[in-house]
Amino acid sequence: MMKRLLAVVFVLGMMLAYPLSSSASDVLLISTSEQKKVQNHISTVGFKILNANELPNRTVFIYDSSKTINAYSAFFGRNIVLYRGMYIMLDDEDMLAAVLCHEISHSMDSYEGPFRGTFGFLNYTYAPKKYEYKADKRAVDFMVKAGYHPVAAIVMMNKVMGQNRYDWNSSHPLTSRRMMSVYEYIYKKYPEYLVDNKYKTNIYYQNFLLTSKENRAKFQKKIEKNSRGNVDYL
Amino acid sequence: MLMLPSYAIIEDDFVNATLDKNLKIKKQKETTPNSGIPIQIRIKEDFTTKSKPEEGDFIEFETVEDFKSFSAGTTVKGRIEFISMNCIWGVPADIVIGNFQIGNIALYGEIHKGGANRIIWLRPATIVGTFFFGAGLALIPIRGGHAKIKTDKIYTVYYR
Repeated sequence: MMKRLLAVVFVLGMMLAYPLSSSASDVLLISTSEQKKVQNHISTVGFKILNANELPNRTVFIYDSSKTINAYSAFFGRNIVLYRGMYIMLDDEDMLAAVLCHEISHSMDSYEGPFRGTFGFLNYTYAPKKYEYKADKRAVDFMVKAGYHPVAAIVMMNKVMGQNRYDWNSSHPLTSRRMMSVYEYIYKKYPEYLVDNKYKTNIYYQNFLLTSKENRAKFQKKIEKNSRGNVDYL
Repeated sequence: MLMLPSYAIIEDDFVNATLDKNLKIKKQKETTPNSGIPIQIRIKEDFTTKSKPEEGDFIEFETVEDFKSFSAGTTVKGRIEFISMNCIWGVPADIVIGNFQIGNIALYGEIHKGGANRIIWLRPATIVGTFFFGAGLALIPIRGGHAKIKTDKIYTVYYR
């Protein structure tokens, strides 16, 4: 009995200790001046998007130098955090704008609802996929209005985001579905960006074209039949 | 940017076959927030997301007062820019209407509307109800409210 108890304590101890040790090693050592440069870049692009879209609510952009490949919008502080791990994956400013626009959409949502949006996080808890699709689509609008190329959102996703087997147990839809939803949105609202597409020969976009053949065929059928409703993408 | 050699390029046949090749990207106008002449509009008929509209559908509004050569009551068309339907757990529908046009003149501004957010009472009710033989679970399928725009509500868009 005592041995079992000790084993449980050991396992729990390891579980507690692991995140502490890993988070310490996650932080990359970079100079303050480099950090300042990146922070300025992120803030400049972020505020350009906010102003160009005439967004009525406040949010700020914070650069975190850890290796995590992620960005998030803090529901309560209304700040958008972008990790270095994500920043170094972005090849150009349009891709950075794609990440920030997605998070800005989440941040703007946090203002909606009673008591200054205090309970809005419950929506995100119970219908997270709906809000991910929303943020992806609003990001396209924000990008276009701020003068960025919305196809960069597809390029960014295809380069950075993994592909789960299923999405029923995840807060985010499958990346392939998200990319198709963005592609469909651009096709319907801003077709000129697919025709006059500066990412046409980009290897990540080319890979999207290669891997989304079946999904694009489904979308083509929808367009040809002039049907309404959502397509069940793979 | 990493590029492939031309011989290896995969063409987007779907886009090539269905879209006009002469489409060009328009430069976005630089604007000052909420600048321009404000125009008050209201929807012509009560609208709700219950009717399952889709992105790209147009909704008709009308001007409340005279504007330039347009008299009060002139039709202003707005496009559904984004829509997401209500779901279970009381999550509401959302809609964004923008791309307003009066005649051939583009107007600026967007209307955001959300339905009733029932999750605020549904969540505690579900938790409490679950202690009564799991009765709370029966509340989960309750959907959030539809987004509604009523004729008596006046919105402001801008002419630049």
